[in-house]
Amino acid sequence: MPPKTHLDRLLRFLALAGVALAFLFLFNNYLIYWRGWPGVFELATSAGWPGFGEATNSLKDGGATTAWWQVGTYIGGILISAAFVLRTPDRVMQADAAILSVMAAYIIRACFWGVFLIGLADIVISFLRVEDLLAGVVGDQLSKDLGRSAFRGAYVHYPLLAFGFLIALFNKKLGFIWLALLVVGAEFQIVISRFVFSYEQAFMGDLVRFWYASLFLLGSAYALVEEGHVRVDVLYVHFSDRGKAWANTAGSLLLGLPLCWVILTQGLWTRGASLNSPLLSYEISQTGFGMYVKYLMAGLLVIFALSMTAQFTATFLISVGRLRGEPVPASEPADSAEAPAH
Amino acid sequence: MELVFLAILVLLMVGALSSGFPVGFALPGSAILSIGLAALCGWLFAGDVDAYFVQDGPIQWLSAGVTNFRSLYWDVERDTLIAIPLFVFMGIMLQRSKVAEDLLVTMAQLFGPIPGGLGISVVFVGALLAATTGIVGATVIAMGLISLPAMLRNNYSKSLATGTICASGTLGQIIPPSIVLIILADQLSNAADQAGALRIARYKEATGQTNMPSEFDVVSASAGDMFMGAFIPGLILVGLYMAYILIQALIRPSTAPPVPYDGKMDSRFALKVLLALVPPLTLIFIVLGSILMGIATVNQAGAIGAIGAMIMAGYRLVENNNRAYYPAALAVASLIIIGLVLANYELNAKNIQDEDVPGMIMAGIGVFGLLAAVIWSGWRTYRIDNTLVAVMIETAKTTSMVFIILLGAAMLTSAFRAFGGEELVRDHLTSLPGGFWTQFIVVMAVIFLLGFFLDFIEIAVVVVPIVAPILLADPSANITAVWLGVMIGLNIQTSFLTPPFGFALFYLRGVAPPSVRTLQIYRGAAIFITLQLVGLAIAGAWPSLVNYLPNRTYLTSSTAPPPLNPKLQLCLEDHLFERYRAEEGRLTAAIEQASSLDIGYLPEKTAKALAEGLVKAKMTFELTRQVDEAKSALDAFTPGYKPLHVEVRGLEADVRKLTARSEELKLYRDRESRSTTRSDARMAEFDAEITEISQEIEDIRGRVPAVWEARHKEYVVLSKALDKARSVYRRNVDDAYEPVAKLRGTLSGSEGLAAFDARIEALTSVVRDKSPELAMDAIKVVEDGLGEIADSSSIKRHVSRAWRALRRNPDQEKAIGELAKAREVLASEVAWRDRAIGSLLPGIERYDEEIRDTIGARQQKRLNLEQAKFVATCKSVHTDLSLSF
Repeated sequence: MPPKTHLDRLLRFLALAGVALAFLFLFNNYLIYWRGWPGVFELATSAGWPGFGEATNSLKDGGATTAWWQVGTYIGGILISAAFVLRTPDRVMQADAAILSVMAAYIIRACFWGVFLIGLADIVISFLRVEDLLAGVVGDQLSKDLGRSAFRGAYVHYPLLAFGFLIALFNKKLGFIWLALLVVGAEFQIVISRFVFSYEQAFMGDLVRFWYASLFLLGSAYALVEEGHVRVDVLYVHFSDRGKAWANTAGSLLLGLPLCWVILTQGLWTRGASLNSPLLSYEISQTGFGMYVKYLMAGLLVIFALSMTAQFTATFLISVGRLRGEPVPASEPADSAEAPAH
Repeated sequence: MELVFLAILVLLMVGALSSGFPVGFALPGSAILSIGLAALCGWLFAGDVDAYFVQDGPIQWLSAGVTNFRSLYWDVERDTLIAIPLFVFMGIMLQRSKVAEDLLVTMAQLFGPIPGGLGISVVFVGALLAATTGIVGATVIAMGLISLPAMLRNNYSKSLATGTICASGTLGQIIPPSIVLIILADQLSNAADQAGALRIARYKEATGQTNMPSEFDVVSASAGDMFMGAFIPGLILVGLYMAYILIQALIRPSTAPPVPYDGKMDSRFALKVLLALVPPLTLIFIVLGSILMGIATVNQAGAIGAIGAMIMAGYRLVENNNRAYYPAALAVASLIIIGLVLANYELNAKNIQDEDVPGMIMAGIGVFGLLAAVIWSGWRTYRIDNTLVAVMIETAKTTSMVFIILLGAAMLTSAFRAFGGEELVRDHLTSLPGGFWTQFIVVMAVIFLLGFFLDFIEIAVVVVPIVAPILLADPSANITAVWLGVMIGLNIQTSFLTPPFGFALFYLRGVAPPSVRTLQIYRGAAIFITLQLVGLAIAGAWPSLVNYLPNRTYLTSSTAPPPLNPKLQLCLEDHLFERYRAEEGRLTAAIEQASSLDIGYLPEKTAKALAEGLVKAKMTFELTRQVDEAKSALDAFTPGYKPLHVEVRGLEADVRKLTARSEELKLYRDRESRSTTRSDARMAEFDAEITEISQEIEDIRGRVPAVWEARHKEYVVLSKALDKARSVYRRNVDDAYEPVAKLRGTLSGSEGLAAFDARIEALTSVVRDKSPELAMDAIKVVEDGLGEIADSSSIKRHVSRAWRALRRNPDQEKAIGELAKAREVLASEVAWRDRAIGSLLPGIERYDEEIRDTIGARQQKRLNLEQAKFVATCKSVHTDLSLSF
């Protein structure tokens, strides 16, 4: 294996900084729209940075300071990535890729536990509410509160999601695949209750929809690692290993990552953007007594973009590593494409 | 300029796809790149990032793409797609647990001894493996691994063996429950909505009216419709394949020799056959049957299939164990209990009556047993060889793969629109000479070629949204979305078989031993391509084969439209007119007989309506003949007129296009004239082009034949006459039947009317003795009671007046007076009704029975079976609507 050059380090830095920026973008989106911070963009227009037109001076001193803190988070993220690369100058790219894969896997595992628990909890609440039993179980006040999506989101869903992140620390199994069985089970439950007991409610369909959306959005990163995404392999199978590495490098950089960034920026840029607005308003379906998880389904797309950012960066690092002469790990055969998936 | 970026988009897409990067990301990635590039170039060269988009700018199109992503899964309208993970789960479970393999092996043993039996078994199992996966490669590989060695070992001709396997491997794409049909249904129903809007716009342009009659609507497709539509063509293909193998085996026995079964054909063998064949066939039958009969939705059927497959895996995985069948037996027993309960009770969890309680308990036991069996089986699949986990992983991967492609295509469609691609394709397609069928053939040829490079799903999500709205909107063939989907499906399937690029061949080559030469595979495929083309031609020539089943299921389902629905009228009238012609004698006799009934004692209005109704019933036949006359007059006129109509409408469309272009140029010219960098040369260019276009418009107008005005007027007169004749007929039969239905309703709903006499009398004393409030309440109760009696308004009116008399300034006398009048009216009502029930009702009922399926057909709640069948057949063929546009 050739010794690591500055180019290797630069590529590693760019890749890691990209992922860090994606996380920080989300964090700042939270600060801006949930905590009312001004944000970098606001600072730029207020101070009239080049390219942002005349200074509007919309930010007063305190606001400007908080906005500068936000600028600081981005700079900090970049600096930490740089420091990490400088501290580990000879680290192989595969090692970084492995960290990113673990990170993506953790997020997905945590979200699986989250949607699993939220699905169960919410369907119980929805059922009790439709049948007017909720007040009897939890009392009048709480029952009224649970009828509001903002309350149910903040005091039922988010704690369960946090709990999911906790479980995922200890449980290392591939959780999301169980959603396949859960979708089958949830739909079968509709069959039983409809055909045997003539009982059908909107929340039953909502549960299926919630879990099936989670299934494919959470499963995507895993499918990328496992070559589950179909390729047009008319030419690809004839490529040499280097050729394949080039295809994957260019693809993840030019095709994959831009998609993730488009989802993040277009979905989250403004208050009314297609992902921010349902999340902010705890949007629920119009069908009345359904589950209150529609806003979380918008959030799933954010998780998808985030996990795919990490995974595409990992793919990028692995393929660039290949091109830069890193050996193929023993555990992974050179041509990992098993049965062609097309 | 947009077109340059459209070209860049297409090139980027081709490059990204052929680089081998996963399709689901190559599609949106190239869309995003080209949008970004257009924005960048716009900013650099025109100072405006929006400059190179047809409308709006990069931000709008990208966020439209992201919003499309979201709508893929969070709208109820897209629920069809949920069926995909369910059917994939079912297919992979059957495959992993070796239930599918058992099926093939047993079939081969059973049918092996007859000529070509092994090949026929392969075709049969290939058809059943449909749901396993939406990916051609995987099915062909699976089939190749299981059956190719067996066929070669038994001296099948190599080309016949490989051809059979390739063809059977692709068969799964078109036979339900295939997931590509689900995806096609999803895409086609969007396309049908768009096509509907296009057609309305076209109707407005041609006729100037904004309300298009609903019989001109585009017929959409649900996943269930798609399954039903593909069912018969799929069976035809299976039949063709099997027949070919059988004939081949009979003519040249050496190519497909019988395979004698080594073991003994004893009761053990029979049991083995039963166990291997019956459960999977039953499952497929239940899944398809419940969809075809409209009992379950596609998703629900998918869940049933997945659970059923799990139960089967639960016993198949346990080998050589007496207890293997316990959970399956428990499941069957539970189902029998549930079946018995459902046959005897009407259970409704929201409304449990006392007599339902035992049923409820039994159903609970049954469901509990069923769930126990499912969990037991599931536990076994989890424990034995980790099958469940493997199935879940495969399901998750395949589902994710499919949906990420759908997501990607959503972004691609957005970019394609951003650069005006849709319009471009539409303009080019519609300007092809030869009308709809040329467009159709061109589109099919393009899809066929794309089939060499792209898999089914990609074509369904990339090409279908672009071309399907155009084809569906065309009124000259008025094809249904289901038929289009099935034709596309058959077409791609053929493409997969075609050397040298066909996917199926490619993958079989990968798993076939070297002793099989590639040329032999090609030769084997060739004959199946022919069969496939025959199948395509059959489905193309007889669209009823595709459309009939969905139509019939819809018209006989519980959600069927009532016979009054305007979409059904033309077909229903075809049917009824035939019956009028055949049964005029019987009907006239029935009318005569009804006319002889004594109706003199009925209330004047009722009697008059009834008498007039009878007269009108007699007129039906004459009006029918008038419709026929108007129709034959129109039919005689149209052949000579239609080419003229099509030609002139085409010219008019050209004029519209040119006018739009000229408006656009004028806009640019205005902009230029106000611009600071105004250039006279460019202004002159604009002016020249505008003049040229108006000259061209004049030319085209001049080409409209001189006879057009007169001929068109003549046509309008004739078609108006037909419409008029039809509507006269419709009003006439409605007027003829309504009094009959009404009288029957009145008489059968009059039970208990007489008892109101005493109740109203009792009210009189209440009004006199009690407070007005109490009296009002009491009157209200009686009034509500009267409301439940048919046709009692004449009595109720007086009771209501009594109530009102007590309201503000209580006037007891007036109230009592009104109550007395109510009793008077009541007495006369009861008198005639009682008499009529005794003497008139049987006659009226007989009359009703005689005419309800003909003269009264429009007033029934639903079509009867005979009508539904006729209408389904009638609506299954293409009808040329171009004269209405």
